[in-house]
Amino acid sequence: MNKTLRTRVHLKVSELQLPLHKNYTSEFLHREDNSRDLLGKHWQEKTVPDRSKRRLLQSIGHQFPCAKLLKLWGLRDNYECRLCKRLHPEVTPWPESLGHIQARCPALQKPRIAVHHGIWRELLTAISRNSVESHDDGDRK
Amino acid sequence: MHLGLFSKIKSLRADVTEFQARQGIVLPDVKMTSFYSCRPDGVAFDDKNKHCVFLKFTRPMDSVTSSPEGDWAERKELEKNARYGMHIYFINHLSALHCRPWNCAQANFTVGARGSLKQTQFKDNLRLLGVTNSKAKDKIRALSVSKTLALSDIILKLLHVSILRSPEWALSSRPTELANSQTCAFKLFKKIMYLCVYV
Repeated sequence: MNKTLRTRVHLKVSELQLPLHKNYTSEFLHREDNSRDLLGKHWQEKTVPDRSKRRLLQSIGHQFPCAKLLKLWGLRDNYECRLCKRLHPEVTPWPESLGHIQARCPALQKPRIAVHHGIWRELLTAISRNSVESHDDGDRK
Repeated sequence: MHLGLFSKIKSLRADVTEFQARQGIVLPDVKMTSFYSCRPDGVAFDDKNKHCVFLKFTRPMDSVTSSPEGDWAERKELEKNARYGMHIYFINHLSALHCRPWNCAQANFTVGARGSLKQTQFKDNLRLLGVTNSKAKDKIRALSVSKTLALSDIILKLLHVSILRSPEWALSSRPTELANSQTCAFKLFKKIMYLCVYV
């Protein structure tokens, strides 16, 4: 079968299969008004490396190999956060889930702040470039 | 200062004390200082319409679909609104007291760590900030999502590097430098590998 045709068939089959599944991933992909179209566009972007795409797919599919999942798969003895455990041995470590890594892990606080500032800087620049706020002097900037 | 609601920090302090007394709140000095040294991510001023907007950006985890406080975005926005609600009320109160026309509001920009973005609300916020062109709005929305996905990926990379190399590495300034540098991912990956191997 032609490669393009095969890709199209796969896409159509996935589209038809999606409503049949009722799990976290399908629920995530079905959410309305959540800019899901942009996920697809990001996925198609050729400049995005395959490793990043793989991690994105793992994140969306709840398959990112964090300690919680590895414990579930029987590949680890515990689900404690490996960074928290090493850096703060006196405190009971949090379970290492994707949410913990992305939003709460105290060991990754510095990079998280940098990431926040990085996105916000871009967003603010884009807003100020496209804003047509009118001023007292009549200028539209 | 920009709004012309006070001239000196002393007068602001007096106004804050009076405002809080009216609300039945008595705070110690330290908390009083934290009230007016509160820093949102940005503040936008519309000189013509005398509109002031507090800007707040958050990148929460987008897993919660429903809870008593709402979904992932609503929960976070509720938290952010609660944090700045009193400040907005104070500015509006002070503006009315000094017969100034300023009106203060808050705009929350919330993008989930896995690229979720409430497009209706996001576009409304952009309109509030003077972005009226729909193409520009879509462009900004796409930019926000792609940038969030690229930088969220960096956090995952850093986790691997920190676990493989040393957890202390995450506390150094290098991850910040990496996240601040251009997110041309291939170069960044090479840089991370270089740091892992040679540093």
